[in-house]
Amino acid sequence: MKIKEPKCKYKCAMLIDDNSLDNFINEKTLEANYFAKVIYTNTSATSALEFLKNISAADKNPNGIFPEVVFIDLNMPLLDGFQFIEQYKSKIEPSSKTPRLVILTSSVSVKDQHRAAALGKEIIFLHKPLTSSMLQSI
Amino acid sequence: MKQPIKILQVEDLETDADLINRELLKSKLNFERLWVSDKNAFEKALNDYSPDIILCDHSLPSFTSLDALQILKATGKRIPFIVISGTVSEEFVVNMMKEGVDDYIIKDRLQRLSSAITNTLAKAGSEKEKQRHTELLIKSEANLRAIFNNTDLSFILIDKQFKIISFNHVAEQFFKYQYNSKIAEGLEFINVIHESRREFVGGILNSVVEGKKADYEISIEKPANITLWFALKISPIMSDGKQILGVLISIENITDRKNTELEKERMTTEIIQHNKNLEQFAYIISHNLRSPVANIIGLSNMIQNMPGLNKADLQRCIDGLALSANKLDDTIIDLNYILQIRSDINEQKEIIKLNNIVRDISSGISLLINQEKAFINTHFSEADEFYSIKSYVHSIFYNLITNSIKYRHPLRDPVIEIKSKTEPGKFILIFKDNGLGINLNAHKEKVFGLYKKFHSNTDGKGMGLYLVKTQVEMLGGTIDVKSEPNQWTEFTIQFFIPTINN
Repeated sequence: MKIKEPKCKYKCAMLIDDNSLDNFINEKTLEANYFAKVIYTNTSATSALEFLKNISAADKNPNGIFPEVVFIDLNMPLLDGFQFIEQYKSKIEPSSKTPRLVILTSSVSVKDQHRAAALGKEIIFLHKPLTSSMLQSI
Repeated sequence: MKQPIKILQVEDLETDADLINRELLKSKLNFERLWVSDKNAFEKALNDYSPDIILCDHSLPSFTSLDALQILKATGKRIPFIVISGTVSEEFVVNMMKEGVDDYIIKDRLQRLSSAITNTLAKAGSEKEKQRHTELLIKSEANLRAIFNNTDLSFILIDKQFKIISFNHVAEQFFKYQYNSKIAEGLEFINVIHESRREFVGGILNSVVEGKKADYEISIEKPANITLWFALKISPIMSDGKQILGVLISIENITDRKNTELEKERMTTEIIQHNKNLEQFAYIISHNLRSPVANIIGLSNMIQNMPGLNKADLQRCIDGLALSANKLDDTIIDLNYILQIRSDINEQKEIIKLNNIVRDISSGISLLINQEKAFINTHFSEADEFYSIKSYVHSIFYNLITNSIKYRHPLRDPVIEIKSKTEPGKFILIFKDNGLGINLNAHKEKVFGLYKKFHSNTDGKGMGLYLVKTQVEMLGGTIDVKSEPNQWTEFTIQFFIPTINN
């Protein structure tokens, strides 16, 4: 990864989306807006959860930087965005730093927004595509 | 008495008539009087005057008092009749009384006349009243009896000790057909009902004789496979003084009403389910339309606003645009296909030979079958035909068979077992394979969802099982799945065949 200009907003962000094209768009948008110095991308919520569990356990390891912002797609096979948040909150959050959870979805359903709000008021709900102005608000 | 007593006097001699009249005037009786002296006048007066009482001289020139009595009897009217006469024998008096004369007065002792009239009228009045009551009672009983025997309700009357007092024909039939028991007056009611119901009904009867009412429904499966419903009302019979005399049990056959209710309930549930499916469908479709659109917007933003993109990234953006546009198109084609399938429900039903369906599909996908070394075993001997919509049945078989091959186990050749059978009111299809299986603990609810995938290594897009479920449900059936991951998957489809019900 290329070293970005030092004025990145965050040290580390994570992207979780089963669609690699979406990950590509999101990653490029984060980079262009100097959003985070390090960007982890995951194509499944299961592997992302596993990854977070590992770096949370190895907290003392200076190489494991815990993401400050996690972008999560909703509609994913096996483990969807809502299930990811539930499992994250019950299994990882209590023992680690709390990142901003951002749902980044193509869904325009109000039901999904309500469901997200029910999981936690702090969760940010964004509609794809990701834009610069959205990133400024985080 | 408000009205004056109408006295018809039959007397040939005017002096005697006056004598009697004077005696009447002396008394405190409120009366009016018509005096007739011969037979014709008497007959006419009976008709026109309608007297309350007749005072008749015994010996008249044209006829005797007994003749007059016969004339009266012949009219059918019951008018008190007093004979006034000179001295007669005791035997004659007895004979007169036998004939129906109400009293007898000797002319020498006319002072008894007023009290004789009063007593005779009082006696006749009470008799008349009694007659009227009896008639009313007979009439009301006849009415009740008619209602009792001409209703569709079963009625059973029992006394406080629960012994049967009375029942109607419908009740007799009810116990004969439902419990094979014969009801009769004097039997213990509890003994004519089914053994399993005695404790419950006994409890209810005990509360009813304490003045409560009971109202409940029962279902009886008789004959087998047909459920009959009955509404029971059990209430105490009370006297005017609020004393409990017995218990009235009414039983109404409400099977038709109940079936309509149950049918309505079933339809409502079905409509709610359909509505839910449609909502889900709209949600999924909106997501699958929105998703590539969002990407097209995102990618074009990048091309427009990120001058620093390198050549490889730019190429990826262009490829992504093409990919998203195709995805959008695919979704629209899927959407169109699903809507098309929904409208196919109007197609004609026909007898479908299951062997032909499997043969057609096998030859259509023979390339895939050969390549994967797949094997399809059919067991259709128990039920080889099915009356349904051919395109649906074909699609159900096609999707389940190709799914089994697509999600085959990598270490063994795919084998698909398809079995058909019938059960009362049902046609059942069972598909079982030896493939990858599905972890149902995690995905039970999503198995049949649109665009839901459970294996990431194949080209499936999550439409097959959605279509299968849609088509099964549109044919009025249900589909269920069982699976052992890495071992097998089994789909059971049940279609409900309407039974011919007389």
